[in-house]
Amino acid sequence: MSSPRTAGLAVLRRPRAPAAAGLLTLGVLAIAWPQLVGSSALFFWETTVIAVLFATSVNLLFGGGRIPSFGQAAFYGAGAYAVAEAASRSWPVPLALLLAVVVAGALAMVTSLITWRAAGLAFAMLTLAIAQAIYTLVVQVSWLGGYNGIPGISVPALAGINFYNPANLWYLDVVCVAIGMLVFWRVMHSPFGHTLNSIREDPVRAAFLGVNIRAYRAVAFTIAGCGAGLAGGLFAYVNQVVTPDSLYWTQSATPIIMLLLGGITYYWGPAVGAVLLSALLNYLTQATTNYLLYIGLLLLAVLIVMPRGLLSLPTVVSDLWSRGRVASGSRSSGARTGLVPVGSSTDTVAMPGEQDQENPP
Amino acid sequence: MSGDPSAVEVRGVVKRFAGNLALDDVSLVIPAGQLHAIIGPNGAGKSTLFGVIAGEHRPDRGTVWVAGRDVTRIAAHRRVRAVGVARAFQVARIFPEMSVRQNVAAAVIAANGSARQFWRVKPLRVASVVADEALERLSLVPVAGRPARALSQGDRKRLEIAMALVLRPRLLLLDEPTAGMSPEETAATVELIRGIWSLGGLTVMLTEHDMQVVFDLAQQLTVMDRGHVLCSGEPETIRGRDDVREIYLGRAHGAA
Amino acid sequence: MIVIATGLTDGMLLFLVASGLTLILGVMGVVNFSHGGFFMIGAYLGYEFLRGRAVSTWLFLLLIIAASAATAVVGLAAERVLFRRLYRLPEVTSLLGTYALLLILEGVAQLIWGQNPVTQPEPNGLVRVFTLASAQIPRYDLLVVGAGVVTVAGLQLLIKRTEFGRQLTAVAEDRFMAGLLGVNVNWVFAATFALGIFLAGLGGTLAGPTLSMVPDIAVTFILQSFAIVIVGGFGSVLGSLIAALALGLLHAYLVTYVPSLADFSLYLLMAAVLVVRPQGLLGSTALLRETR
Repeated sequence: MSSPRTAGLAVLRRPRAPAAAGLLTLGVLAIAWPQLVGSSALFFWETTVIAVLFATSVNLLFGGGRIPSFGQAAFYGAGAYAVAEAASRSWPVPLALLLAVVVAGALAMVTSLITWRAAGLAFAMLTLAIAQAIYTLVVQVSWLGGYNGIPGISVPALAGINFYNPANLWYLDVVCVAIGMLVFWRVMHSPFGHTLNSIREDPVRAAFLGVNIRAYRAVAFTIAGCGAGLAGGLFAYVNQVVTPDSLYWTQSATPIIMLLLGGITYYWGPAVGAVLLSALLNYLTQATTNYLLYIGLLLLAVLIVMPRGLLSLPTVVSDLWSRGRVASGSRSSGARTGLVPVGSSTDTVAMPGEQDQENPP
Repeated sequence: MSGDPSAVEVRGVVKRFAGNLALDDVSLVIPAGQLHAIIGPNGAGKSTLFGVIAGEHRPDRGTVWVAGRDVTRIAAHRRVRAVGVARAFQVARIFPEMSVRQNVAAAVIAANGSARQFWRVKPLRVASVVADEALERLSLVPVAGRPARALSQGDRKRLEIAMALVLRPRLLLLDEPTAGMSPEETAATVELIRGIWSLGGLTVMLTEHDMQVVFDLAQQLTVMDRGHVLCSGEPETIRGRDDVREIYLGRAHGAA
Repeated sequence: MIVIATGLTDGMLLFLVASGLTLILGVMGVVNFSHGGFFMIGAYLGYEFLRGRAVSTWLFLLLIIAASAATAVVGLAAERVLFRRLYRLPEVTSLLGTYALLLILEGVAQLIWGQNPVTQPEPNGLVRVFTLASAQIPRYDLLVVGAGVVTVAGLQLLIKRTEFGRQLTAVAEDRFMAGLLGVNVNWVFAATFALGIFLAGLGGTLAGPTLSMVPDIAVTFILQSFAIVIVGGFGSVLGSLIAALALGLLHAYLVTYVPSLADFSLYLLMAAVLVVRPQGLLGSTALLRETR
């Protein structure tokens, strides 16, 4: 019935068995993973699942509400520094991660209030600037270690489990990421997520349904900030060092590349993109000093050939196939592959009330 | 004034766009429960007037009252719930990538306040059922699962009206509801609007170029020209006026 | 005095980069991340032509023009092959497309010129300093400020007085209407992009002797230019001039008198301006509006 690609109501009609089987497989893999890949490769996989969570949180903004934030590194870094500080005071793990989520969420909320009126490109550039300001600040603050950051972060034992054992650290990592992923799944499929999608599709229509679009964007931004904070906090534990690099703006761009590679309209798109890009970076940085070139070329190729990401590959292929069979079919294949995106950036309208003066809050 | 307040009262509204007067001292009173048409040539200020009433534009001068309340400074999204304004656009605005059912469900959760729920999934299921009822009324059930972008122009406009109706409005603004429709679709839409309105409790304002539709539907007309209100009155009275014939009817007939 | 001279010089360099960025944004609606890449390419091309030799001032001027033009040619090629395909995509996607180009340019620069810094000496005639109000000011600063002034004047003439300027303004305001009125939008896009990249290249070659070149300057410069564009107002050349000079002066002042705040000058300026005018100094509200 409904298009399986759009989140929201459609999912209620989706058969449950394959989904359950898929999740079960993922779970089994997660448990067996330390034995499968060996402890030396585990660090790479720990950072990769963190990237999965980070990219998924960013997709609540880009895919969920078309909120183009280029400053998510600020919240990722905030979470990382929060855990670093908490770890140096030997806070228990759940409390430290909670602190990461709260600090990052609060910072995101403040940012969303500063950028309240901006939308589109202006929002993208403002969030970028704010994140860079935070980076500049952190570099100068001596108790956060300046350029050197905070080294020697250790994970205190939790309920008798010690995390010097690499496998245990992996399990902690995976469980936290899974919780985060579950939260984002619920949010994206809740009435809030549906409303956010409607804002993505047409903010003016949404406003005239009575939706306070700026408030919804701000809340989404805060939730995404919390997710980035959790990812950053986990990274601090896994990496054992936090440097200002985790706040640098290229750190904001990485998850965006991931979710565009995988596909912005799919829940699992960012995850697929994160695994792919992490693996590729891992390989390229060993094989060549010139990896930026190849990442750039790959990104361009995906953007041009499959603007909806790699997960749209089946649609693109089946579309080309049916186009081949029905030489001049009546249905527009372009619209299905996303080669002709809905709503071009030229289609600008004034926000209600914005035309003249600002809305009272 | 006694009894029901008027549905809409526009008092001395002036609106400029980049120096051009779109509305020049417009005043207008529409009693509650009326089906009222605004007519006038292109550029007369009809859409701007709708924009001012719905909250899209804020007037440079003057005030707007809906259901006895001064809404001049109330943001558009608040007007929807505060005074029950709903609107449909000249070119239907819908959520193109969502299914038709999802479109209406978005309106349902916006109206019943469950849109804020970001954890429970169930309200969305409930909304889907409510949406199906609305779709049934507008005979959109056969296309409920299709993405909205795949609809014909006529169906898009019907979908937009369906979304407006689940907001349970007291004032419905329809900007050119039959624009781009075939004669059959136009006739069906006229019946639809009459049907919605006759259920009672609803004031309908519409702009329209098709004079047949206007004279079929409207109890009262307001004629606008170049940002002014020329006159208001019963369709028969308006039809007889020479100045209206000259600025509007004459030209429209010439064009058609 | 030295503060003013340094501030003006830095500001002018920033302006050269930001003016191209703001033109491309205003006319084409594309946030061009790759702009910093072209700045870097301009700097390296200037180096490539001279191979680190110091030459006479006139020859240097000629080479600056040549290197900027060469950068513009690279830019034009990128526009033809790549940007063309991005206009139809949603703005976030096109943004990422320009970011991809930035990565590619950086990668190519690494491939050709390596990771080790290279330097480009100032032209022979401008090595020394001159004294003004008891301050020692590098002569090279005069060249930079002069180039900036010529660019401002040239851009204003171009936009306000020529047929191309009229077409450019029309496309910036409403490309659809402009197209209906017979303006060749494709051509205006290509020309605007080439012009913007020419300015980036000019900034790069001029900045060459003032910095040690590594491919990473592409990234460091683009952020400041973005901030200039925000503060000056999207699409406003004069706005970016004012913002760039203000930033240059503020930064030079803080470096001398309040060094701990110097790194924040960018953000201080942004905060100060945007609290009062969210659309920037001379910007319109057009880009604050919702797009669908």
